[in-house]
Amino acid sequence: MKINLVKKLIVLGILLLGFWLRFYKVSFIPPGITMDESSIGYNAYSILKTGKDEYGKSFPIVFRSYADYKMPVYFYLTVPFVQLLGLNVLALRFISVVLGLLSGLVIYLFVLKFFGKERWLLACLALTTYTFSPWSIIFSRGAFESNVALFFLLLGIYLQFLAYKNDNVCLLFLSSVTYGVAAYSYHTQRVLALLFLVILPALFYRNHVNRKINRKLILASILIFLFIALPQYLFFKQAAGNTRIKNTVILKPEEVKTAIFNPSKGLLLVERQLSLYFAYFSPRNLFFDPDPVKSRSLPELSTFYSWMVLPYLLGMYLLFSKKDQAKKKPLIFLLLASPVPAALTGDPFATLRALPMIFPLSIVIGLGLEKLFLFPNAARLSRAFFALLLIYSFFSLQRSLFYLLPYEKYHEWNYGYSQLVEEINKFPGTEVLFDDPIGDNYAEFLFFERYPPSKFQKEQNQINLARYYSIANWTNTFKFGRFSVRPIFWEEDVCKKKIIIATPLAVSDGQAREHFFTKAFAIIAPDGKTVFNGYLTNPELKCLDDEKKAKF
Amino acid sequence: MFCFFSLLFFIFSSNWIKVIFENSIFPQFFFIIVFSVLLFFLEEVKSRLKYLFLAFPLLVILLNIPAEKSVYNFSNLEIYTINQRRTYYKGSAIAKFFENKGTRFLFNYQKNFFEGLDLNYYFFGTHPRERIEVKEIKKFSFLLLPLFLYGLYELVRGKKYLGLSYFVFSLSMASFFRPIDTFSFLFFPFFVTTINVGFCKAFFKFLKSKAR
Repeated sequence: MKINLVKKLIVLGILLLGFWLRFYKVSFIPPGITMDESSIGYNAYSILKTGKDEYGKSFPIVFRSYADYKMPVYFYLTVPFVQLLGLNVLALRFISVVLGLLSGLVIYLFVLKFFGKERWLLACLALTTYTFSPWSIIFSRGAFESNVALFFLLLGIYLQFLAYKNDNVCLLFLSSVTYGVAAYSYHTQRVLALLFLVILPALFYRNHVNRKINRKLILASILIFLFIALPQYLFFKQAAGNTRIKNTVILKPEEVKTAIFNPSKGLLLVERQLSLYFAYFSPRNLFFDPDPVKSRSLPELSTFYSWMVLPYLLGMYLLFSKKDQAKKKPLIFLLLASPVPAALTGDPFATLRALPMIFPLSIVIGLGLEKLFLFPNAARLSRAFFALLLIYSFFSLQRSLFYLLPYEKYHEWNYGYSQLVEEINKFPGTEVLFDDPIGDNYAEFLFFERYPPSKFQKEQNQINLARYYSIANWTNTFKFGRFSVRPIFWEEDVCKKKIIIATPLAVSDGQAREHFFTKAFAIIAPDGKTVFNGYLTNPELKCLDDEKKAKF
Repeated sequence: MFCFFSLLFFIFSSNWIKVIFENSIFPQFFFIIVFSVLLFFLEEVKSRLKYLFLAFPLLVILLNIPAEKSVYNFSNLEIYTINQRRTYYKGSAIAKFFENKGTRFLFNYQKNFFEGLDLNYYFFGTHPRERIEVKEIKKFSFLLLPLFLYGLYELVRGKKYLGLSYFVFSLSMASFFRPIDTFSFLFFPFFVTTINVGFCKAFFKFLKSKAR
């Protein structure tokens, strides 16, 4: 009784610490919000206020956003938080914080049920590995669809396992529904949810005799999933379903066809794909080198702490060793299948797409740690050593998250837009031009300005709503209210009274002097560098005729 | 005998040995072939004295220490980074604990260590994460990767740890110098013998199943 209470308190302690690591200063660290986050936040606000997204589409099942068609679950889950807390960074990231933490709880419960209560230590170590991993923390502190999708996928796996273990039909159908939600949460999960739902039964389901769950019910559960997720799969022929695939997947059907008939090309193709796949198991990538996309990692930390390489290698051996092979098969399958969709893309190590891997990897590292913990005659020593390493990791995380990240990755997190909007609002009524050749930062203004969605829907670039899911092209200039987001047209813009906002690289001090700009404000980054300059144009002076200008 | 010849085949057919030979560093070429053959025979020896073999990589490194390549030899940028980062902490006590030459040394050492631990470094020319300013070479054909993994599994299962100890020890030593390629030739014997173990075990297993 007493031991059970201690165990529960330990788990609670880990979860509370995990919550603090995810929640503390979440509005400010990471500094700023990415373009995807701003789009999610503003569209959730738009849904709340009008029932339509930024384009005016009522309750879309895929959000067009930057014509990259984002999955809808994160958007809709954010709506209540925007209602409660208002449109701000906390409301935007709150669901990610909560579900990121709950994923850890699901991992703990799964391990406890899968390996049995006697392996509580393993469950606790897997939970610790997940909860304190930099991989989970960075994705829980940002509005990442992938993080929310992970929760639903894990819940689906857990419910599915429980269903087969307890022979419970309700749980089986519930797992299908959860997998269905996962398929609406992130692109990768459209593949993984279906794969897991179809293949895991064969691995979980061992005793066929006298059981309620029979093949017909398994088929019914797959049909329930397909019924829920079918609209997503039907989208594969339209821009809403295939834009992301076209933009990211490097394995093209034509290439495969050529490879089949040309063995040397085929071999090269296999080599390339295998190298991408093996990169997801490489200790270098998992324990040292961070994600190449800087906003998806913490400075000087990879997905797990470097010392975890030892339990990882040991855990891998234990997983693939012949002992209890039949029982471990589902885990091996989850480990090998999870990075498949990520490995099909050209990115060298995409932690965002490979996030489902964190589940089997946490268990693998947990297995290795458990073995080290229970090492004959060295249990106390290894526990003390583990405690020291955990403390060191905790401080490394503090250093990386609270000291290095705000200074070294503010650029990748679009720092400065919140401050920019505050500065702009000191000049009411003045036209604002934000110099943006790509045009994808308009949502930052909408988000921080809390621009009325009904107004924006009328003002922005109109699209034919009947073809909402099939328009792949995107206009990158925006005009709403007094804001314009586009490149500067020098000949016209300097002759109109407005605030021009640009990076120091886009408009130099020399150019500002040449055009008689007056510096209105500057947005300074934590490291003292200028992120944006705000200039007031001087049309009276700049666009006077030459005679008057000479007199002046 | 069959396995010995297959070992020679794997040694001389690998791209890695060609590159080492082309660099015409005779002692390296000589050492790694001798080490590979020794490792092959010593793995079967039961005496613990076989672990004296681990002294060889240390000897090679001691004879060739390139001081300028030490991970403790910091560039100006690294010194700047340490000083710059100290300003981030605004007087917090952990600044000096984390931002100093010791932690930078640890960082550089780990960088080398993990590069040497990366299978893509050996079988895919470090693709898809090629390193800046390093000419990557494919050391072994990727088709040998399954044999390597199987061989490694069999070695661990059979509790034959000499090759693995040799690799860990030489990697730990070589990681003191950057890039890891400076002494990575020392890992060749481990890889080639492990591939050979995988091949031999798989081959005899295949023959056995045929005989049944």
